[in-house]
Amino acid sequence: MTRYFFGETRRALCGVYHSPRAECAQDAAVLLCPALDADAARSQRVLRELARRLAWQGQHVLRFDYSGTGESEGATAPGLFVRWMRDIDLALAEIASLSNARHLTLFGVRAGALLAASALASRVAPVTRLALWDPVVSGAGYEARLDDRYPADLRRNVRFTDLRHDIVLPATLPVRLLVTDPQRDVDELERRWGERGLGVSRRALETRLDWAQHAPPLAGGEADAALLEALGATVGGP
Amino acid sequence: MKNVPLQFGRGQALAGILTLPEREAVPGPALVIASSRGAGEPHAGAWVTELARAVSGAGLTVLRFDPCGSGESAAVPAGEAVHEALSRDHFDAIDAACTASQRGAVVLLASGAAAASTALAAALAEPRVCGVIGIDGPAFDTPGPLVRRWLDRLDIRGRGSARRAPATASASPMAPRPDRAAYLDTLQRLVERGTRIFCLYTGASGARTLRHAARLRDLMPGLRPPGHLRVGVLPDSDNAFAHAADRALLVQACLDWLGLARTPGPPPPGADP
Repeated sequence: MTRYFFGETRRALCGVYHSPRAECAQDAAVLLCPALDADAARSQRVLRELARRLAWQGQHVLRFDYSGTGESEGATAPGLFVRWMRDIDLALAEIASLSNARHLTLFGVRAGALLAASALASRVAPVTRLALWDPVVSGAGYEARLDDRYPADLRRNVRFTDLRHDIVLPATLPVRLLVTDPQRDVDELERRWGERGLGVSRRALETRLDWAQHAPPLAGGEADAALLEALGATVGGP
Repeated sequence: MKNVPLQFGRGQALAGILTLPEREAVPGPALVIASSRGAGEPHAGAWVTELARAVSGAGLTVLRFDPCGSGESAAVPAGEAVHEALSRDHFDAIDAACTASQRGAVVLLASGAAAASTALAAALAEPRVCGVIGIDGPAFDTPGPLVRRWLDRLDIRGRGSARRAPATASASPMAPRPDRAAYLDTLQRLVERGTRIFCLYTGASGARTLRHAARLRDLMPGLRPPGHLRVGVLPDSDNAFAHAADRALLVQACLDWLGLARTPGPPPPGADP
């Protein structure tokens, strides 16, 4: 596991690269797009464990923080939504260059799913699979949960982004959903994307997470074994 | 300002980020910030990074680190109690900060009663610690402030505040509440040694009504010299400093206590022209 900064000078992104176990290295890589704010704090540890697990199974994994969040540099100034899209581009280029892998999974958690899918929709990227964990399907309503340090235009951009209507993904792109907090809009997302010809598969956990509730972080240890198993299968499985 | 990721401690188990001043460093200690309250606890929040950048912008080196079992650091070693691990993490972080900054002294900053108490105990055992900032550290009732608090409550409706921080602080399960006598003894010995202490309380610890400064004065009437122990209150802040204005107050309070002036300097990294 190597933590380092990459990207533009003075706007460097903090990333953590998990190199694959040498004896079983695969031609596959994963880019993890984290959630934001409280969701990020809650899921950080379990994503770290997931990345370690995937690397143990032979995949290259890169985690990173968006500009102005976590340990990444950059101010939370106007234009942040566009910059976050560019951050995902930069991180995709970084993992592609680190891994040289032909199979690249883009994995987004909560608002990270909204950002990841939006980033994919607006550009050509070498992504071969999209995986989403409890995606924030519509930013309307969710933007109220965002930290007050973000600029108003970011809130606007998030508020008016809706994965059901605005996002057009390549029709051949396989999409995997992991649902641990069942919401009606996720069902609708699955249906709409299915109607557009996307191959959407869904996995659900019996143990329900409620992201709206304040809860201790997901430890990623024994207590979250079923969750880790499901995440591993969603992101890294065949 | 330059950020350098660091792995340190036994088996390189601890992860941290060293923030080095971009311009010439000012004389003074390195600041060591625990990014969480310990194992199983979430990151303390954006204030950690903002404070590190502000302090490094004013000329000091800052190491912010994830205690074992949190953030990017390894899990707590099997068989080790969480609060013992946190204590060892502080010693490792002090070593790492002194080595990286080439300074012989550090100031520790920890948030939460158990973590602040652990930082104070580490300071007592480690002579290179010249100061401790404890955010919402332990507090104990004394008769005077207790009575005044009850009197205040009788009149609480007349004292309405525009914005009152939610009481989100809770005792951390990772360590027992520090013993009152032992805590006071630690404080006294640190002050006698010349270690400066800044006890900063937020609204989450009841800073509006609990009269923390008066309680400390009551607890330690013979405390000399008093200048070594400062109490600050941010009654409208919550302990996550979720609002930008609260983070600005925290940063200013820490810079003041460290004797640093916030310098305008170059635009913050990433700021749009």
